[in-house]
Amino acid sequence: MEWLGYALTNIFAPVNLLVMLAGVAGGILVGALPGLTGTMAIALLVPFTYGFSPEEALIMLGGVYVGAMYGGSISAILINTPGAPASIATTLDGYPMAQKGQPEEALAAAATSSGVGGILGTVVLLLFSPVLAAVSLQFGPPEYFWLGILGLTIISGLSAKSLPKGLMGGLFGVLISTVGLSPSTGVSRLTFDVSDLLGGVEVIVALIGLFCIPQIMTMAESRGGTLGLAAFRPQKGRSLAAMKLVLKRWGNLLRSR
Amino acid sequence: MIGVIVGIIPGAGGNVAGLLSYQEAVRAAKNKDEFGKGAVDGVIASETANNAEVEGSLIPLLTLGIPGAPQAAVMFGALLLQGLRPGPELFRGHGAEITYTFILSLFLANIAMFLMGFFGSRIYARALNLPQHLLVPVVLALSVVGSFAGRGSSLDVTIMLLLGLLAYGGQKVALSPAPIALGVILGPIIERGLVESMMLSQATGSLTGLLFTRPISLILIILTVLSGGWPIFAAFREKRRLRAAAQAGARVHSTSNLWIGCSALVIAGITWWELQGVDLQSSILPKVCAMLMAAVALGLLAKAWALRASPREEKVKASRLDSLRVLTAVGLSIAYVLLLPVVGFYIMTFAVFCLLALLLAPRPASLRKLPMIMLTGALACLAFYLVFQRIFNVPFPEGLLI
Repeated sequence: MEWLGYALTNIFAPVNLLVMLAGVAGGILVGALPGLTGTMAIALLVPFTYGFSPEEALIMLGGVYVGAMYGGSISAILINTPGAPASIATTLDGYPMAQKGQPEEALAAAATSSGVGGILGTVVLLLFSPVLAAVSLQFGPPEYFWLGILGLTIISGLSAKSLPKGLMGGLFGVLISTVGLSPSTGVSRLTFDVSDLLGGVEVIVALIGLFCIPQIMTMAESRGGTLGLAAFRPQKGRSLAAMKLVLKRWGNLLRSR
Repeated sequence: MIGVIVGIIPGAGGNVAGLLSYQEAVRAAKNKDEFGKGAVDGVIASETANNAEVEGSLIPLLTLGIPGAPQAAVMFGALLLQGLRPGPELFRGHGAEITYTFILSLFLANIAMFLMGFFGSRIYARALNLPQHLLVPVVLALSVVGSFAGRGSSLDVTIMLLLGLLAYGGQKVALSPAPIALGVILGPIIERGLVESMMLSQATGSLTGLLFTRPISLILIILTVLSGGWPIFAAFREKRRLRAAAQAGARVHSTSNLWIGCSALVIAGITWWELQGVDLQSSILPKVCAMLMAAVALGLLAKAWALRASPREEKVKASRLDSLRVLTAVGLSIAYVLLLPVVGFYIMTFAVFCLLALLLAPRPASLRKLPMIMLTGALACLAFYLVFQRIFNVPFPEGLLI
């Protein structure tokens, strides 16, 4: 537990608070803009954290991750367009609420339940990850091999609509990762005699390409402009009432977190 | 609970968490009719779950190096950049200090998010009015700078664009970029595990014994079989029920299968040809990958062949103008990346910014918008210079001119 004091003083260090706030604010903004996702925002930010300390970098990116998740609900509620795929379910009742003249209540409910969900999730992360880390000490090369295979099959089945297509994507990704020098034997493969490829394909370079370029082109498909004016006038007390209502639904909060 | 658990499962993102817990909220509710008509419980379920999923997805990332969601996959890139290796080291000594600082900061981030959302949603609502045609070039320029920054190599920028365009093409044939990204991250883990097992087995004698008999391995194998088998089983069950519905989409399916199958065969062939003469331990993973890709490709092609006679689905065709615009955007981004080392970052970014913005500006497009676009482009370049070169000190692509 010797880390506790260090961590507690560290999170309140001015620089760390600043990058955290900037991350959350930027995350909400990016999350709210349809077409720009949190994944994209983090991918674009990672290279610029090179000069940061590890703490600063992780705190800022964590803030973006958290903020963008909530930001998606703003556009989901106000203009029925999920700002990110994660907010698809929010459009189902959030937009009807806004249409009924309760956009404020919907946004306040989203903010409150996002906050509660995130905090409960962090508790689980705090308690559970040391346990899993201890288990991972037992892992040797064969276990890591199977772990990788397991991850590949799960994502192939879940993220794609069909297993073969997802599998194809996963295999192609693995193939990309093998370009360059072999990590174990130091022999070069798949470099096509280009010496710059010896170092392999940098992970973050691949991720930026994979997550940002398709988004850009999708945005180019629809001649954009603005997405319709979204504004409303807040009235006193309505948000607060919505927050209290949310906190009364603790059964729903606990189940969904 | 739903959010965290979905988060832990590798690769399943917030959309799965949100939809799943929405379903559960409907199931648990007494008055089911209200859902879909503005029930606050629907919003609560979805938002609680997708935010809990954030932290859930970090659990396997920090402990095993397996990201639980696409966003976590990108966080993995950040860990790598900082030289932090996920696993037990992150929970001991100095690593633990960094990790727990990060975890505890998530409490603060969630509180900050709540406060900003609660009091500031009106301000954020205004952001929805930002014009998209100005966002696109900014994001493109950021992608270029970001991929260049790591090693200062123009080749990296080209690779970034190449993979991105491939992924965009993939999206058109219902192949999402998330599995590719996870493959890129899991590849080294799989390869190191496999090759080191092979090396170990030279001492013990039996590779199969090493791979298949250790207890944790066995659990992982069973889970793999279950997770690989489940979608097949589910699809089988679904197909029986919805055979008619499936027929309708068959036409679209078979064209995309054709595309994926053929390109995969080409890639597998090239890989195989490149790997000639490389020793077994260095080439086993790419070779196996190429073989599996070829096998899956043949399967997809066979399916496409079987479905070829099925009734034509009326496709919602993108208008010719739309595809022309996308093609121009693709061409512009290729020109951007290729000319960057020659012309220089600022001139090129400015030019591409203006052209892209003009291309995507809402109708009626007129040259009257050009001064405004040029001004924004110049401001964007200035912002790039100030923020990245002055503050972050990121290396920029340098050309002959600037």
